[in-house]
Amino acid sequence: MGIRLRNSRQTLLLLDALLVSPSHWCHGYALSQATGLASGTLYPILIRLEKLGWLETRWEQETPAGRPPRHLYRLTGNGREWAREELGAARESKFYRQAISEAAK
Amino acid sequence: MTSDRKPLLLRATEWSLRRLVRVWPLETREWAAAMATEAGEIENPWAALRWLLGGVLFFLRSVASHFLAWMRLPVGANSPLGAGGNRPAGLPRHSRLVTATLLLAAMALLLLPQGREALIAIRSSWSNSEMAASDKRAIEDLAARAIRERDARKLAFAAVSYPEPGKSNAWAEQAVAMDPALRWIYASHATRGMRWEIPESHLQALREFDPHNAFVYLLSADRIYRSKLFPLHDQGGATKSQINQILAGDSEWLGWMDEAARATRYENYVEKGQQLQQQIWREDRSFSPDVIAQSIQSQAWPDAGNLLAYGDLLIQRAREFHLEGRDAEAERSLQLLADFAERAGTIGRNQRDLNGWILETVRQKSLIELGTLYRSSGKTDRAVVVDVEVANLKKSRMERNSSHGQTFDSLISPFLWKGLFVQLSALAILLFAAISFLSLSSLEIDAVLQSKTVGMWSRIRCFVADYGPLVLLAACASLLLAYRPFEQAFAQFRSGATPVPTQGQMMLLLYSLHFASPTNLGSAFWWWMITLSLSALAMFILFRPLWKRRAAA
Repeated sequence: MGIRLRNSRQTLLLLDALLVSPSHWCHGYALSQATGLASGTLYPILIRLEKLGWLETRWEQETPAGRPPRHLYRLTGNGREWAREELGAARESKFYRQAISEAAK
Repeated sequence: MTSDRKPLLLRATEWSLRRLVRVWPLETREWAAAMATEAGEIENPWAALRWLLGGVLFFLRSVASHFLAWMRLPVGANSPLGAGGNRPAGLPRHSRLVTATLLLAAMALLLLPQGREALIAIRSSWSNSEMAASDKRAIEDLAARAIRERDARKLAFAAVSYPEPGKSNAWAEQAVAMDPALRWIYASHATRGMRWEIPESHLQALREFDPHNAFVYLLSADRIYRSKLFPLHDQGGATKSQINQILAGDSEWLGWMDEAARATRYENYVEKGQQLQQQIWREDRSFSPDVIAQSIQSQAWPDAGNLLAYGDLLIQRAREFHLEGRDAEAERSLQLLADFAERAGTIGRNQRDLNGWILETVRQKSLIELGTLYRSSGKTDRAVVVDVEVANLKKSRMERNSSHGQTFDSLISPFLWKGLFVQLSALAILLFAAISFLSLSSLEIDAVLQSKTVGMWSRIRCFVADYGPLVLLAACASLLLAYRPFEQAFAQFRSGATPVPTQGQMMLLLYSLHFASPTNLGSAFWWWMITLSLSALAMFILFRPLWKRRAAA
């Protein structure tokens, strides 16, 4: 049995944030600020996306002195396709619209 | 912002997350490090605190999922199974989850009230001494509580149950000082083996408390009987005529026996003792049945020799009166004896007192003697009436004796088997708990040390780790089932619900529990049992592959 991802409100918010600029690498804290998700919710979702092969990760190559490298994330090709489908389906639902409006508040 | 200028909360968050990463489960440690790095980018202290709290939650989730994954592996395995879920050699089949579930289920059964009661009863039955140390401690605690709370009943129970005369006597006196109506316990905390003795002060208190009760005078006479005759027993015994001669010459003994014969009541305080036992056991079920047995056994019983000797002396006295032509006095003497024996005998028998049966013998003898006296003095019609009375007495005694034997057998035999099963189940629990613990812990130690055990020992260890906990659970269930009839009988005794098991029946139940205990049967028997079981297990493990190969061929 492989890893399955539940299309929860939090997952959809994260996918939405990652699709804003799909080729761009994002930091964890930036994603947290964009989605309003706490670190305890955000990272388990990122881990699952990565295990499914929908998320690429890498460590920063060049870092300013005195600061450790940060972890960066972006959706893979398949991940983007799947995320768009999921978000498209979700946008039809009242549930998603409600979640987005709550996040905007 | 440089780190020294950062607010304390921000620095504390970064420091805490860095610490947390060090103990983070390996599978997700990289992600934890990523999250900790992000903390350095947060400028708002409250956002940092929120980030830290989220991190703690993430840590707890990671630990829980790591633990679950670890539990799904076989005992002794640290890394996931190979491709296709193949089990490496030297590891048991069952996962830690299955093993832990079996062990927890076994523990839960033993923690049920019935399981706890069974364990307490078995622990007491395995004690070598007169009373298990834990039982003695429980009584001492009860006494301390009773003194603190000034509860005379509890202290009285502690006095009648405690096996050491020093403390027992002191507690009995304190209980009576708190509640003088409890003076009857002076007759119920006496027996400490064969050579028990009630202090004279206690006997005096009993006589003042219950002056019309024959039993207290019998106890007073018995004190003299024991002091005079027990030294003779130590020297090789005494004949019946010697005993009668010694007692006939003791006016104090004769005086107490005459008082007993004239007393209008006969009460041995067994009922009062039983009520006290029931009440205290109801209030505190943690007492083992052995404590109750001790309080039953502490009941004082005058030696039957007192009654037999007194009967002989009165009959002898009547014969002398007859020879001297004083038939009226002879008749009075015999009638006094017959009446006393009837009055006390009937009541005593109803109170399940052994003396009740002895008194019937004395009554029979006195009636036969009375018949002879009537015949020799020409009162044939009265002799016929007495003869009929003797015949009826003999008949009823024969009927009772045969039914008593049947009742005894029907009572004890089913419980003997149940007692044996209780002891066997307890032994199986002990054995399988020990070998399961050994095999499981050695597997886990090997996993920590990353050492590998191979060969026969490894196979035995895996087999025990797989099936030991299962057998342990079965043994716990078997203990509860086997102990159930005892539990019901004890509960009936406590609640007083009819039919209440009598104190004699309680002693039979306890005998059934004790007779197959390792201490009672001797350790050699149990060593044989253990050796045989382990040999059978080893044979099974050794020959199983051979049988499998044959079956496959």
